[in-house]
Amino acid sequence: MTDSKTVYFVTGASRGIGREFIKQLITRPDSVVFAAARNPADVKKQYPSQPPNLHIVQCDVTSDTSITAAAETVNETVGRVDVLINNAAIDNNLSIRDTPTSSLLAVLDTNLLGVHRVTRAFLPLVEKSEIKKIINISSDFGSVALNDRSFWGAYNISKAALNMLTIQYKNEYFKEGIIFIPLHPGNVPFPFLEDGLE
Amino acid sequence: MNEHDANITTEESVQGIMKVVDKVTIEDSGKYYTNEGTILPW
Repeated sequence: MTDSKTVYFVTGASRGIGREFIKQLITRPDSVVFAAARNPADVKKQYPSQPPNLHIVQCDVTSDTSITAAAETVNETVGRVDVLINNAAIDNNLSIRDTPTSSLLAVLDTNLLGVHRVTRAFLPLVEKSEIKKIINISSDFGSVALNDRSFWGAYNISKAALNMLTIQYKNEYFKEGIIFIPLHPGNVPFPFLEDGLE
Repeated sequence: MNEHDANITTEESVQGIMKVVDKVTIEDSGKYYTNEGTILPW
């Protein structure tokens, strides 16, 4: 039975704050935690003895096939998601003047379209929840009002667009009681810089 | 390029985020929150 439990689904769970979400959420009483990552082995190696409330699933947010499979796994396992945390993101580590179109497209594919894909695929599972929360990890770098001070071209563009995506979902799903939050995590160490990924 | 000065740990960040996640209601939907529970300008 999972009715008294809270079901979390977190993308980008292998590194950075995604990894930290998993670490903290599995210690919560009555939590069921789905750690979604492109490479699930990266999560598995962090949990040599896997806690019973942790489920590690493959989920590449740029792939509809992968996302659909992950949603189906969740559906078969617990039948709903209470809190969806769209955390997966990349950066290209380039100024906008040095960013080829293909690179901007790649950043948007994960940071913007990835959230859209996952949200669309998981909404039927969130609708079955009584909690109904979708948290989109944004950044203050996505704030147009604040952006006279930072120079992360593609990343900032993707987060500004993610903010508006979140608002569009909020407007459309307000009556259904689904809560959408664009959230700045604070100035945390960026995993992209730590491990040199994308 | 892409300089970034971290001033909190991922642990502190997620602790703050989860406090926000726990407390938000439908009336808060669409608000641009920080990990500290404050609201950012768009």
